[in-house]
Amino acid sequence: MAKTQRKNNLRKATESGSRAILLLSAMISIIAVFLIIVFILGQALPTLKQVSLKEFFFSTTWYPTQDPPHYGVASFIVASFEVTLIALILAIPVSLSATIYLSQFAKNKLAKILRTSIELLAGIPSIIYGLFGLSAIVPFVRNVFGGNGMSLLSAGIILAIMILPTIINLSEVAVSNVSQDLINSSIAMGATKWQTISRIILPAAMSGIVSSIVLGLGRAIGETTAVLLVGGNAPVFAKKPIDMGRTLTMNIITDMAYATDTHRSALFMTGALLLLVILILNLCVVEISKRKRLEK
Amino acid sequence: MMDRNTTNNIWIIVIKILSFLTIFLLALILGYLVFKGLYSSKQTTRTVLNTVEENLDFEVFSSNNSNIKELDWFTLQKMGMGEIKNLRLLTKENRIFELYIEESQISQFASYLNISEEQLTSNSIILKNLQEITNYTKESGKILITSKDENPPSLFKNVKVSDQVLIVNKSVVQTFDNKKITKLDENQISELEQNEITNWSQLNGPDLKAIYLPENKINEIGSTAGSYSFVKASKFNEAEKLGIPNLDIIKIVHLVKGPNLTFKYIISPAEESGKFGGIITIIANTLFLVILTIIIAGPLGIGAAIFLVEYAKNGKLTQFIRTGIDLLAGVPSIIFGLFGLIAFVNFLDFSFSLISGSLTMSLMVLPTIIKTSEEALKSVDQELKAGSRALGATKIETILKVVLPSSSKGILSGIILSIGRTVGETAALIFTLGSSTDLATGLLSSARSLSMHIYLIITEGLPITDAFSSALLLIVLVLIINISTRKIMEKGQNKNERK
Repeated sequence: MAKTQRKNNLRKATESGSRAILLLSAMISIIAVFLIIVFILGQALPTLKQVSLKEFFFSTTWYPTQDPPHYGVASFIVASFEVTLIALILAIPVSLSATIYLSQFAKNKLAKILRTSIELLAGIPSIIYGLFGLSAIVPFVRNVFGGNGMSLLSAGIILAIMILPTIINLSEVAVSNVSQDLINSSIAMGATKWQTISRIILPAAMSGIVSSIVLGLGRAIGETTAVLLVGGNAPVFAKKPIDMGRTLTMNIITDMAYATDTHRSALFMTGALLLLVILILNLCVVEISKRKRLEK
Repeated sequence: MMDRNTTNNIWIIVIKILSFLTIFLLALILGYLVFKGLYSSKQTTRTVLNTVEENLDFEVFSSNNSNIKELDWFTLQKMGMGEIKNLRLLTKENRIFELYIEESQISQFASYLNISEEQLTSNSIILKNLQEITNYTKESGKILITSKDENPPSLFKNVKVSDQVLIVNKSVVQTFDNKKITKLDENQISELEQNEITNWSQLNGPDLKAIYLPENKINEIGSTAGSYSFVKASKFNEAEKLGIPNLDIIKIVHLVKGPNLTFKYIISPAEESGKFGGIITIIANTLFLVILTIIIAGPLGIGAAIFLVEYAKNGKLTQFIRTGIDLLAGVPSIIFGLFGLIAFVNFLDFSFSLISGSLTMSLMVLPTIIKTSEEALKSVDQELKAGSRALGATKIETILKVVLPSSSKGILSGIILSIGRTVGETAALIFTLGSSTDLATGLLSSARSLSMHIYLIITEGLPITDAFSSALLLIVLVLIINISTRKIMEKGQNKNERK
């Protein structure tokens, strides 16, 4: 009897012990996010002893090694948004078309090939995109649009290809969730396929599509290696898209190798800014999908 | 107003074209990389013309274990003077170099190279007859000079020798109007050879009349502005030794075409930060990084998924955990790199090492593993679990013995997906993993992964053809990983459907 009792106790202990361990591993993600924020802010804040927030955000002079040094990241912020905007303008029509194609012609063979291509595109590492951009897209931009070729435009083009799978995968989920009854009744009323797509399916899936675009935007802003290889990386304000420019991520990765003291913490400040933007974007997506769940 | 059917058709066509742009892009990228990875055509600058010397008084062979296929006169002279001890700078191979000469050829070869017989014999191995060559070490890269019409001994191949150079009066290569002839390509050389060039300005040079002088008037070239000639390299060397002033050589750009990624490149270890040798050590280090990352992130991710599926109630805590996972999934890799740098490299003092790199990567792939495992766990048959509990198994026993085995395929596909991400990551590893190309000896040794290697090749200005050969290997790896994930997932789905 006592033996069974002890065995049962042991089992109960294992049970509650394992629950605790599982809870802990589930908590790792949120702890990691918390630590990332704390560590990066901890390194970033000393910048403010030397530079005012106003200078940091609104000045376009980045001379970290001069005396006196200047730490203004405004041109990097603008460049980041510029490449992201170019990427979105190029990627949204293509990815929405692909999404609609997948949902409307899902059963045919070409759709299967399309789906596989999207998955494979998603798996290609960013360094490969960078290498491809450097040796194929940069000469292309140079020949077609002039300039050096290494430019924000090239960076935007390569980013557009990179965020295609992100946007397609998530907006496809949204489109396939549109109720079939709604689509059927639209067709029954004599609407053409395009009318059904543009007036029924897209509006109904809009919140999902928007959150997929926001996630794509987040990926584009945070991308480093691919844009670094094609963007030119000149720490000046790019006046035209075909000029060389430097984004926030490029600034971190280039200067980090040799930065010290305030310069280094200014780079962490750049990182903190990037992180803040992306966390806000992601929180928006979380909010959108939460509201969606509540509606249902 | 346009007919609505026409509008419909136009839009459908636009949608189709844009969708297939995606497939086209993938095909373009893959095709381009495969082409560049397998086939290299790179420009190199050489001192000699491309014409192969046919009328040598002797034969030149090279041992099969080295990559020497052609040689120029200047390299041969360096070999004869004992200035080349290792093939590294010549063919990127780390091999001892040895020069063998058949006894009867010493005087001819020495006069061909413009050096004394004593100097030549003191820097080479003299063979009384050809059979002796088999007695010497097999590992070294050898060049063998034999009498004419000799058949190559076994394990040797013929080598082409080029010894023509384009010499000009110094006035031709002087800077003029910010322009200067430094090198010419093969087309320009053939124009020169056919006397189509009458003025150097046609070749972007100074405004000077181009005067061709025959080979035997080498002395006059020094005194005639704008003159040029094609002579043997030994003649130029002689003239230099005699101190004829105002002579210069114009270098020639060659397009070297050939295979890029070779099996040999894959299996040889990297040397001197990837400048020489191959990439096997880098592949091995990438493998270590992947294994470590999965060892750390796998259990944590699966544990988190189990908690979310089996234990969590729909409360505030769960909401909090889920938000954390979503946020972590969105953090860009450069931020993980920064975090890894402060937390693991500096704070925990792991320095740039395998462990810092894999801890950083673990955090990065954690959301992927959690999400795919969660899907897999959710799809486990409810009855199966209930049956297990009814038989008296506790929750954790049910999970370990029933739930996990029947969802292993989905979990595995998540792990493979994470392997793909680890293999392809660069930005997060640059500040955490280090950059050593040597084989890692422990958790604390610095290393570099294949994708970092590509990045570092480009930023350090090493030949881009090397980047392409590594990129081909990387993309093949990543494709295999992705396709196998797909296969596993499809199998899992079929199984579920059959139920």
